[in-house]
Amino acid sequence: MDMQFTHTEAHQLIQYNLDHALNSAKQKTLFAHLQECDACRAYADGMYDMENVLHQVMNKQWNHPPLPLSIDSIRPQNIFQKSAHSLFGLRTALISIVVVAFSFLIWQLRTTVYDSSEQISLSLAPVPTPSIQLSTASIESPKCEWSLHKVDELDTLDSIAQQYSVSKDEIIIFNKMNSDLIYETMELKIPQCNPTPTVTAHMPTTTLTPILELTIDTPG
Amino acid sequence: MTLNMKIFSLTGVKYGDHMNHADPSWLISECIAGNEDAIETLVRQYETGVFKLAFSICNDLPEAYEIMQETFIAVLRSLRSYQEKKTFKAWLYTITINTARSHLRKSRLTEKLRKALTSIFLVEVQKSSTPEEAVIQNEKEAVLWRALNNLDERHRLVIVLKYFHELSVAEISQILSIREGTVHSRLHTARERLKDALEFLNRE
Repeated sequence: MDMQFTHTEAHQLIQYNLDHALNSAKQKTLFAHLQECDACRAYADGMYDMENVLHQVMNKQWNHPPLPLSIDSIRPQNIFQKSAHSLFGLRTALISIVVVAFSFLIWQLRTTVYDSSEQISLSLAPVPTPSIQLSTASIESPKCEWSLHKVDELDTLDSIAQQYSVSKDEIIIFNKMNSDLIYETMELKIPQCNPTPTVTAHMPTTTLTPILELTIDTPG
Repeated sequence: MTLNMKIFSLTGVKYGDHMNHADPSWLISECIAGNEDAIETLVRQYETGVFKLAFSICNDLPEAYEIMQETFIAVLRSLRSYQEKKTFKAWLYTITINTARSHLRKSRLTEKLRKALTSIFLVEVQKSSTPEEAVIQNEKEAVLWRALNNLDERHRLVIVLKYFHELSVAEISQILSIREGTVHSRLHTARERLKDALEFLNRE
């Protein structure tokens, strides 16, 4: 019975006993050992002393009545309101963020649209306006000079047109004729329009030459 | 409902006794339902314990009061999520300890900031003597108090919970979410260190 366990084992048991974690059988063996072993008894006594002082110290330090806690300060209504407020705040913050982002997006889009439209007008500006001016100039200035032509008995409208190198229709329009019938002693005004410097006038000369060359080369 | 509760609180001694130790689940469900008298009963029942625990951790009265207040706010807010795995007291004390820890972290930060500022401005700030020095005359107690404060948090907390709050090992293990064996071994280590401090004094 006396030396059933070592000092360290005894210390372990003493500690467990302080924690109220020993069953009665083990307690009995421990007490039996303590009666035999002076060193272990000293250890146990030291522990009990320490515990007593510890209790005293802690009670002196901390055994303080609690300051009165007002229930109002922790009332759940407050909490719910608080949480509702914070939720509300969060929601408004989210909505405002979305609104700001959306308006920014729209603004961005609109500015880009404006930019592109400006670019288009700028890029278009130099090209079409002169062409329009040119074409209008060619239409608006038919300051055609004309010469009188007395119709002979041999003349036809076609021959006159060939003679002055104008088209038959031009003569008809110019003289406000109702039909293409001509007769002797009729006086026709033959339009002799100046060759206006239009784009259309220049274009054929540049484009025609290669076509002519090509058509000449292939059969040869 | 509130009328009934008034009657309950007037004749409440018997009820209170019944509630105190056995089963706070009825009180808790009343609190969840928003019964103010139930909330008051709950707070009055546990405020002493929570306050003492907070005070024993932070060792500062106003701060302990703040911790107590924050703890009860947190408790009432999360009362729904309380599950009866732990006892209510253990759950409450866990929240208290967590709140106190976050408070300590904050106060440690402010302390650091204060130190940094004083070192910048080269101002020597005399720390006023803490009230505990005045209370303790007994040399033994002073030594033990210092030894207790020199323990690291893990060991200090188990000692405080065991000897000041007189909780069982099982409860401590619930509160700190550690195994009972760990509680035993921490208590063992802490007690031996404290005993050594006392014996060192006796030898001198």
